[in-house]
Amino acid sequence: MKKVQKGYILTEILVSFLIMSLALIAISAMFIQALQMDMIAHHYTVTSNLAQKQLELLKMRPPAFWAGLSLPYNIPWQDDTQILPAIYNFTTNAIQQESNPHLIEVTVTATWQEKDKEYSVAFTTFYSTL
Amino acid sequence: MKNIKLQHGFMLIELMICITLTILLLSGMFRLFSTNLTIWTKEKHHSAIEQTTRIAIDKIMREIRYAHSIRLTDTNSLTITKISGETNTFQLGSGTHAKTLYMIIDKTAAIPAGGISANPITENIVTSLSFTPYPEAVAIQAVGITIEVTDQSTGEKQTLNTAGYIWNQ
Repeated sequence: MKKVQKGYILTEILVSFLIMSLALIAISAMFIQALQMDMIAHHYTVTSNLAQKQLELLKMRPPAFWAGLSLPYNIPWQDDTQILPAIYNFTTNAIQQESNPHLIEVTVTATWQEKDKEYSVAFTTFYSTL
Repeated sequence: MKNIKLQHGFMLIELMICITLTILLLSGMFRLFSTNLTIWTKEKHHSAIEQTTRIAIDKIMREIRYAHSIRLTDTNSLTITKISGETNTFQLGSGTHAKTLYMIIDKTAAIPAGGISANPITENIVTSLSFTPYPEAVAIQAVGITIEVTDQSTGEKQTLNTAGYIWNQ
């Protein structure tokens, strides 16, 4: 004696496929987003290292250099031989530190555009005029 | 023999529609899977070379900061002498290890004295390593580092550039 077999209807299978496809597309979007984040992280690494370079090269300056600056001052890029990647915009600003008259506060700021969004990284340190 | 009548099968046309739809959907899904796999592989390689450059730069920077004196044999080899007399040389290997960054620790002149050891810091993927003296070669005050790492399978390149000031010189 055979019972009536109950299976899935074609429509049900199609609907399940549709749902699975949608889920997969959503997961793909996550992968692409991760790739973009990776690119942003890369820019942060490159700019951080270049900003570090600028601050380290400024350490070669004697205290007299810092004492002689007319603040606020826009310091040029210290390595004349280097052509910076065009996508990054570096600015170095020297200002008087508020609490200590012998300290100069220097901030290197790197900005760049990625997918119509502006990103920036800023490093600050102090140099003595004494 | 009575049971045979109760059995209902699919018609050929139904089966064909079903198979066609399944193939279409599966091919779409496989494409998605393969794209995801490609992106994942790409990212894995990308982060590997990114990490290699960063770690190499960090390692050299730390040694430069705590150096007692520094010597640039040529633009591809940097020798750092520590307070203890120990010297650390950063350079690429030779032969099959030409793309590996080595730190050669020489303790023969150190107190207490020791031997010489070559320590690989990176995998065999560093395609270029160069050091720049600042402000000039005769009186080094800071060292510029440029490292280029290339992924062998994708050919993707990463270059990092920075400089370190020698405090204790």
